[in-house]
Amino acid sequence: MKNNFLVGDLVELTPVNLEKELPLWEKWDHDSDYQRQLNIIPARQLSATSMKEWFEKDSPNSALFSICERKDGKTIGFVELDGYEWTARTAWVGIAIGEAEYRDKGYGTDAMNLLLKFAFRGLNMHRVNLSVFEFNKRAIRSYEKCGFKYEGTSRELIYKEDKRWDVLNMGILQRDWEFLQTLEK
Amino acid sequence: MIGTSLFIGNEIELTALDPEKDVEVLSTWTSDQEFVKEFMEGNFRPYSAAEFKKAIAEKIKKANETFGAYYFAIRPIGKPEIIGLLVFGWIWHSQQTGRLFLFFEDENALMKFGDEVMQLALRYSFMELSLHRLWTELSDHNPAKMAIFERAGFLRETQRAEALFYDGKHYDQLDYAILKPEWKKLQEEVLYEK
Repeated sequence: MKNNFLVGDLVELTPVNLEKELPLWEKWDHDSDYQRQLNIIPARQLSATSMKEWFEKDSPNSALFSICERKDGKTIGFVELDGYEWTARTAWVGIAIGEAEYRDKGYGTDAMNLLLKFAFRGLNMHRVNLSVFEFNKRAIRSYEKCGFKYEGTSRELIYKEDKRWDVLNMGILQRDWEFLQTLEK
Repeated sequence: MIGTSLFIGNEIELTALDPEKDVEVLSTWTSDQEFVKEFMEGNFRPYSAAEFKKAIAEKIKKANETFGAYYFAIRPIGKPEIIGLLVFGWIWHSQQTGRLFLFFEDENALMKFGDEVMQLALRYSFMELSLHRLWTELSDHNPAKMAIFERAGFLRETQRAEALFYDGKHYDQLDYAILKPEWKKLQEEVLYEK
Protein backbone atom coordinates (compact mmCIF):
# COMPACT_ATOMS: atom_id res chain seq x y z
CA MET A 1 0.00 0.00 0.00
CA LYS A 2 1.36 3.35 -0.99
CA ASN A 3 1.12 6.19 1.48
CA ASN A 4 0.59 9.41 -0.40
CA PHE A 5 1.59 11.74 2.41
CA LEU A 6 4.22 13.62 0.39
CA VAL A 7 2.54 13.74 -3.02
CA GLY A 8 1.30 17.07 -4.33
CA ASP A 9 -0.30 18.33 -7.53
CA LEU A 10 2.93 18.68 -9.51
CA VAL A 11 5.63 16.98 -7.49
CA GLU A 12 6.38 14.23 -5.04
CA LEU A 13 9.02 14.31 -2.29
CA THR A 14 11.13 11.17 -2.21
CA PRO A 15 14.25 10.05 -0.35
CA VAL A 16 17.45 10.91 -2.20
CA ASN A 17 18.60 8.15 -4.56
CA LEU A 18 22.36 8.68 -4.37
CA GLU A 19 23.35 6.50 -7.30
CA LYS A 20 20.95 8.17 -9.67
CA GLU A 21 21.09 11.70 -8.32
CA LEU A 22 24.72 12.45 -7.43
CA PRO A 23 25.49 13.37 -11.06
CA LEU A 24 22.54 15.78 -10.97
CA TRP A 25 23.89 17.47 -7.82
CA GLU A 26 27.29 17.77 -9.47
CA LYS A 27 25.71 19.33 -12.55
CA TRP A 28 23.67 21.81 -10.50
CA ASP A 29 26.65 22.76 -8.32
CA HIS A 30 28.76 23.46 -11.39
CA ASP A 31 26.43 26.42 -12.06
CA SER A 32 27.81 29.13 -9.75
CA ASP A 33 24.59 31.17 -9.99
CA TYR A 34 22.72 28.20 -8.53
CA GLN A 35 25.09 28.03 -5.55
CA ARG A 36 24.98 31.77 -5.03
CA GLN A 37 21.18 31.71 -4.69
CA LEU A 38 21.44 28.90 -2.19
CA ASN A 39 24.45 29.43 0.07
CA ILE A 40 26.13 32.32 1.81
CA ILE A 41 29.37 30.42 2.22
CA PRO A 42 31.69 30.61 -0.79
CA ALA A 43 30.58 28.59 -3.81
CA ARG A 44 32.82 25.58 -4.29
CA GLN A 45 33.18 22.35 -6.23
CA LEU A 46 32.84 19.16 -4.22
CA SER A 47 33.79 15.77 -5.61
CA ALA A 48 31.15 13.05 -5.82
CA THR A 49 32.99 11.31 -2.96
CA SER A 50 32.81 14.37 -0.67
CA MET A 51 29.17 14.88 -1.55
CA LYS A 52 28.42 11.24 -0.83
CA GLU A 53 29.95 11.57 2.64
CA TRP A 54 27.76 14.59 3.26
CA PHE A 55 24.62 12.78 2.10
CA GLU A 56 25.35 9.73 4.18
CA LYS A 57 25.54 11.68 7.43
CA ASP A 58 22.12 10.60 8.67
CA SER A 59 21.13 13.24 11.20
CA PRO A 60 18.17 12.89 13.56
CA ASN A 61 17.75 16.65 13.18
CA SER A 62 17.16 16.93 9.47
CA ALA A 63 15.37 15.39 6.51
CA LEU A 64 16.45 15.74 2.90
CA PHE A 65 14.14 15.00 -0.03
CA SER A 66 14.45 14.93 -3.78
CA ILE A 67 11.75 16.82 -5.62
CA CYS A 68 10.38 14.58 -8.37
CA GLU A 69 7.96 15.97 -10.90
CA ARG A 70 5.05 13.59 -11.19
CA LYS A 71 4.55 13.40 -14.97
CA ASP A 72 7.88 11.82 -15.96
CA GLY A 73 9.28 11.07 -12.52
CA LYS A 74 12.26 13.36 -13.21
CA THR A 75 14.28 14.70 -10.27
CA ILE A 76 14.25 18.49 -10.55
CA GLY A 77 15.65 19.70 -7.23
CA PHE A 78 15.77 19.12 -3.51
CA VAL A 79 14.17 20.40 -0.34
CA GLU A 80 15.45 20.00 3.19
CA LEU A 81 14.14 20.54 6.68
CA ASP A 82 16.95 20.85 9.19
CA GLY A 83 18.12 22.34 12.48
CA TYR A 84 15.22 20.86 14.45
CA GLU A 85 14.88 22.45 17.86
CA TRP A 86 12.56 20.31 19.92
CA THR A 87 11.68 22.66 22.77
CA ALA A 88 10.31 25.57 20.71
CA ARG A 89 9.58 23.00 17.94
CA THR A 90 11.23 24.99 15.17
CA ALA A 91 13.19 24.02 12.07
CA TRP A 92 14.78 25.59 8.98
CA VAL A 93 13.98 24.94 5.37
CA GLY A 94 16.15 25.07 2.25
CA ILE A 95 14.96 24.42 -1.27
CA ALA A 96 16.37 24.54 -4.78
CA ILE A 97 15.09 23.73 -8.24
CA GLY A 98 18.26 22.65 -10.04
CA GLU A 99 16.63 21.94 -13.41
CA ALA A 100 16.23 25.42 -14.88
CA GLU A 101 13.25 24.65 -17.12
CA TYR A 102 11.15 23.81 -14.04
CA ARG A 103 11.65 27.19 -12.37
CA ASP A 104 8.85 29.75 -12.08
CA LYS A 105 6.15 27.18 -12.87
CA GLY A 106 4.83 26.29 -9.45
CA TYR A 107 6.97 23.19 -8.85
CA GLY A 108 8.94 24.81 -6.03
CA THR A 109 5.81 26.14 -4.35
CA ASP A 110 4.18 22.71 -4.52
CA ALA A 111 7.32 21.08 -3.05
CA MET A 112 7.54 23.68 -0.27
CA ASN A 113 3.91 23.05 0.66
CA LEU A 114 4.62 19.35 0.95
CA LEU A 115 7.63 20.05 3.13
CA LEU A 116 5.47 22.25 5.37
CA LYS A 117 2.96 19.41 5.57
CA PHE A 118 5.80 17.11 6.61
CA ALA A 119 6.98 19.64 9.22
CA PHE A 120 3.57 20.52 10.68
CA ARG A 121 1.53 17.34 10.30
CA GLY A 122 4.37 14.82 10.31
CA LEU A 123 6.73 16.24 12.93
CA ASN A 124 4.28 18.56 14.73
CA MET A 125 6.64 21.53 14.36
CA HIS A 126 5.39 24.82 15.75
CA ARG A 127 7.29 27.04 13.35
CA VAL A 128 9.44 26.88 10.22
CA ASN A 129 12.14 29.49 9.43
CA LEU A 130 13.81 30.44 6.22
CA SER A 131 16.28 32.97 4.89
CA VAL A 132 16.25 34.23 1.32
CA PHE A 133 18.66 36.53 -0.46
CA GLU A 134 17.31 39.90 -1.55
CA PHE A 135 18.17 39.25 -5.22
CA ASN A 136 16.11 36.03 -5.33
CA LYS A 137 12.73 37.60 -6.11
CA ARG A 138 11.31 34.41 -7.62
CA ALA A 139 11.88 32.54 -4.36
CA ILE A 140 10.39 35.33 -2.24
CA ARG A 141 7.17 35.24 -4.29
CA SER A 142 6.97 31.48 -3.94
CA TYR A 143 7.46 31.57 -0.15
CA GLU A 144 4.75 34.22 0.21
CA LYS A 145 2.38 31.97 -1.75
CA CYS A 146 3.04 29.18 0.77
CA GLY A 147 2.14 31.54 3.62
CA PHE A 148 5.57 32.58 4.90
CA LYS A 149 5.57 36.03 6.48
CA TYR A 150 8.40 38.52 6.23
CA GLU A 151 9.86 39.08 9.71
CA GLY A 152 12.91 41.23 9.09
CA THR A 153 16.15 41.79 7.22
CA SER A 154 19.72 40.80 8.07
CA ARG A 155 21.47 43.81 6.62
CA GLU A 156 24.57 43.32 4.47
CA LEU A 157 25.04 39.71 5.53
CA ILE A 158 26.31 38.69 2.09
CA TYR A 159 29.58 40.02 0.69
CA LYS A 160 30.11 39.00 -2.92
CA GLU A 161 31.12 40.70 -6.17
CA ASP A 162 32.62 43.44 -3.99
CA LYS A 163 29.10 44.39 -2.84
CA ARG A 164 27.01 43.77 0.23
CA TRP A 165 23.55 42.26 0.03
CA ASP A 166 20.69 41.83 2.49
CA VAL A 167 19.08 38.57 3.54
CA LEU A 168 15.34 38.51 4.24
CA ASN A 169 14.04 36.38 7.10
CA MET A 170 10.65 34.72 6.86
CA GLY A 171 8.68 32.35 9.05
CA ILE A 172 5.42 30.46 9.25
CA LEU A 173 3.55 29.10 12.26
CA GLN A 174 1.76 25.77 12.32
CA ARG A 175 -1.63 27.32 13.14
CA ASP A 176 -1.32 29.87 10.29
CA TRP A 177 -0.39 27.19 7.77
CA GLU A 178 -3.29 24.99 8.92
CA PHE A 179 -5.65 27.94 8.54
CA LEU A 180 -4.47 28.44 4.94
CA GLN A 181 -5.25 24.78 4.21
CA THR A 182 -8.90 25.35 5.18
CA LEU A 183 -9.11 28.18 2.61
CA GLU A 184 -7.55 26.37 -0.34
CA LYS A 185 -8.85 23.40 -2.31
CA MET B 1 47.11 50.87 16.70
CA ILE B 2 49.40 49.90 19.55
CA GLY B 3 48.71 51.43 22.97
CA THR B 4 45.06 50.69 23.66
CA SER B 5 44.42 47.26 25.09
CA LEU B 6 41.86 45.06 23.37
CA PHE B 7 41.40 43.10 26.59
CA ILE B 8 41.58 45.46 29.56
CA GLY B 9 38.74 47.84 30.40
CA ASN B 10 38.22 50.08 33.43
CA GLU B 11 36.77 47.53 35.82
CA ILE B 12 36.84 44.25 33.93
CA GLU B 13 39.18 42.41 31.63
CA LEU B 14 38.83 39.75 28.95
CA THR B 15 41.01 36.77 29.69
CA ALA B 16 41.42 33.13 28.67
CA LEU B 17 38.59 30.80 29.53
CA ASP B 18 40.11 27.96 31.53
CA PRO B 19 38.03 24.76 31.59
CA GLU B 20 39.94 23.52 34.67
CA LYS B 21 39.53 26.59 36.83
CA ASP B 22 36.26 28.05 35.55
CA VAL B 23 34.10 24.98 35.27
CA GLU B 24 32.97 24.83 38.90
CA VAL B 25 31.24 28.18 38.44
CA LEU B 26 30.26 27.78 34.79
CA SER B 27 28.56 24.42 35.30
CA THR B 28 26.20 26.07 37.81
CA TRP B 29 25.11 28.43 35.02
CA THR B 30 23.74 25.44 33.08
CA SER B 31 20.67 25.52 35.29
CA ASP B 32 19.80 28.74 33.40
CA GLN B 33 17.68 27.74 30.40
CA GLU B 34 18.79 30.58 28.16
CA PHE B 35 22.48 30.01 28.84
CA VAL B 36 22.49 26.27 28.33
CA LYS B 37 20.27 26.38 25.25
CA GLU B 38 22.52 28.86 23.51
CA PHE B 39 25.82 27.52 24.72
CA MET B 40 25.06 23.86 24.07
CA GLU B 41 23.20 24.49 20.79
CA GLY B 42 19.78 23.53 22.02
CA ASN B 43 20.86 20.50 24.06
CA PHE B 44 18.92 21.64 27.04
CA ARG B 45 19.74 20.12 30.43
CA PRO B 46 21.91 21.03 33.41
CA TYR B 47 25.47 19.67 33.17
CA SER B 48 27.76 18.38 35.91
CA ALA B 49 31.14 20.09 36.29
CA ALA B 50 32.95 17.09 34.77
CA GLU B 51 30.64 16.96 31.75
CA PHE B 52 30.73 20.67 31.19
CA LYS B 53 34.52 20.80 31.46
CA LYS B 54 34.73 18.30 28.61
CA ALA B 55 32.20 20.25 26.53
CA ILE B 56 34.02 23.56 27.01
CA ALA B 57 37.44 22.05 26.35
CA GLU B 58 36.18 20.59 23.06
CA LYS B 59 34.66 23.89 21.99
CA ILE B 60 37.84 25.82 22.77
CA LYS B 61 40.01 23.25 20.99
CA LYS B 62 37.86 23.43 17.88
CA ALA B 63 37.82 27.25 17.99
CA ASN B 64 41.59 27.44 18.35
CA GLU B 65 42.10 25.12 15.39
CA THR B 66 39.54 26.58 12.99
CA PHE B 67 39.49 30.29 13.99
CA GLY B 68 35.70 29.93 13.74
CA ALA B 69 35.10 31.17 17.29
CA TYR B 70 36.83 33.16 20.04
CA TYR B 71 36.19 32.60 23.77
CA PHE B 72 36.81 35.03 26.61
CA ALA B 73 36.23 34.87 30.34
CA ILE B 74 35.12 38.22 31.80
CA ARG B 75 36.79 38.90 35.18
CA PRO B 76 37.16 41.90 37.47
CA ILE B 77 40.62 43.32 36.73
CA GLY B 78 43.33 41.29 38.44
CA LYS B 79 40.90 38.86 40.04
CA PRO B 80 40.47 35.15 39.32
CA GLU B 81 36.67 34.88 39.51
CA ILE B 82 34.65 34.59 36.31
CA ILE B 83 31.64 36.90 36.16
CA GLY B 84 30.74 36.53 32.51
CA LEU B 85 31.44 34.85 29.23
CA LEU B 86 32.01 36.58 25.90
CA VAL B 87 32.06 34.46 22.76
CA PHE B 88 32.39 35.41 19.11
CA GLY B 89 31.00 32.54 17.11
CA TRP B 90 29.76 31.83 13.60
CA ILE B 91 32.75 33.75 12.27
CA TRP B 92 32.48 33.76 8.49
CA HIS B 93 35.62 35.54 7.37
CA SER B 94 34.53 35.37 3.73
CA GLN B 95 31.46 37.49 4.51
CA GLN B 96 33.08 39.41 7.39
CA THR B 97 30.26 38.48 9.77
CA GLY B 98 30.10 36.98 13.22
CA ARG B 99 27.78 36.38 16.12
CA LEU B 100 28.21 37.67 19.64
CA PHE B 101 27.22 35.63 22.70
CA LEU B 102 27.27 37.45 26.00
CA PHE B 103 26.38 35.91 29.35
CA PHE B 104 26.76 37.19 32.89
CA GLU B 105 26.51 35.32 36.14
CA ASP B 106 23.42 37.34 37.09
CA GLU B 107 21.44 40.42 36.19
CA ASN B 108 23.39 42.49 38.67
CA ALA B 109 26.66 41.84 36.81
CA LEU B 110 24.90 42.48 33.50
CA MET B 111 23.70 45.89 34.69
CA LYS B 112 27.03 46.77 36.25
CA PHE B 113 29.47 45.62 33.57
CA GLY B 114 27.34 45.08 30.43
CA ASP B 115 28.09 48.42 28.78
CA GLU B 116 31.81 48.21 29.44
CA VAL B 117 32.10 44.66 28.12
CA MET B 118 30.10 45.65 25.06
CA GLN B 119 32.54 48.44 24.21
CA LEU B 120 35.45 45.99 24.35
CA ALA B 121 33.46 43.42 22.37
CA LEU B 122 32.65 45.87 19.59
CA ARG B 123 36.19 47.15 19.35
CA TYR B 124 37.50 43.58 19.17
CA SER B 125 34.94 42.65 16.48
CA PHE B 126 35.57 45.56 14.19
CA MET B 127 39.20 46.45 14.87
CA GLU B 128 40.74 43.00 15.44
CA LEU B 129 38.47 40.40 13.84
CA SER B 130 37.83 43.04 11.15
CA LEU B 131 34.18 42.08 10.82
CA HIS B 132 31.70 44.16 8.90
CA ARG B 133 28.60 42.86 10.67
CA LEU B 134 28.15 41.61 14.22
CA TRP B 135 24.83 40.01 15.13
CA THR B 136 23.14 38.40 18.08
CA GLU B 137 19.91 36.61 18.93
CA LEU B 138 17.94 37.64 22.00
CA SER B 139 14.64 36.61 23.53
CA ASP B 140 11.90 39.13 24.12
CA HIS B 141 11.62 37.94 27.74
CA ASN B 142 14.93 39.61 28.60
CA PRO B 143 14.57 43.41 28.40
CA ALA B 144 17.72 44.14 30.46
CA LYS B 145 19.90 42.37 27.90
CA MET B 146 18.07 44.04 25.02
CA ALA B 147 18.79 47.43 26.57
CA ILE B 148 22.55 46.75 26.72
CA PHE B 149 22.63 45.87 23.03
CA GLU B 150 20.43 48.81 22.04
CA ARG B 151 22.57 51.27 24.01
CA ALA B 152 25.64 49.93 22.21
CA GLY B 153 24.06 50.72 18.85
CA PHE B 154 22.63 47.37 17.79
CA LEU B 155 19.51 47.58 15.64
CA ARG B 156 16.65 45.12 15.98
CA GLU B 157 16.38 43.67 12.48
CA THR B 158 14.13 40.64 12.75
CA GLN B 159 11.42 39.50 15.12
CA ARG B 160 10.77 35.79 14.70
CA ALA B 161 7.31 35.03 16.06
CA GLU B 162 7.23 32.38 18.81
CA ALA B 163 10.62 30.94 17.83
CA LEU B 164 11.82 30.41 21.42
CA PHE B 165 10.49 28.46 24.37
CA TYR B 166 11.37 29.10 27.99
CA ASP B 167 9.66 27.89 31.14
CA GLY B 168 6.49 26.73 29.43
CA LYS B 169 5.95 29.67 27.08
CA HIS B 170 6.83 30.67 23.55
CA TYR B 171 8.68 33.96 23.07
CA ASP B 172 9.68 35.90 19.99
CA GLN B 173 13.30 35.74 18.96
CA LEU B 174 14.84 39.15 18.33
CA ASP B 175 17.78 39.35 15.94
CA TYR B 176 20.02 42.37 16.46
CA ALA B 177 23.01 43.53 14.45
CA ILE B 178 25.46 46.41 14.17
CA LEU B 179 27.56 47.23 11.12
CA LYS B 180 31.09 48.58 11.25
CA PRO B 181 30.24 52.00 9.72
CA GLU B 182 27.51 52.45 12.35
CA TRP B 183 29.93 51.62 15.15
CA LYS B 184 32.57 53.99 13.76
CA LYS B 185 30.02 56.79 13.58
CA LEU B 186 29.13 56.20 17.23
CA GLN B 187 32.84 56.40 18.15
CA GLU B 188 33.11 59.80 16.45
CA GLU B 189 30.07 61.03 18.34
CA VAL B 190 31.58 59.92 21.65
CA LEU B 191 34.82 61.78 20.87
CA TYR B 192 32.84 64.89 19.91
CA GLU B 193 30.92 64.83 23.20
CA LYS B 194 34.19 64.59 25.14
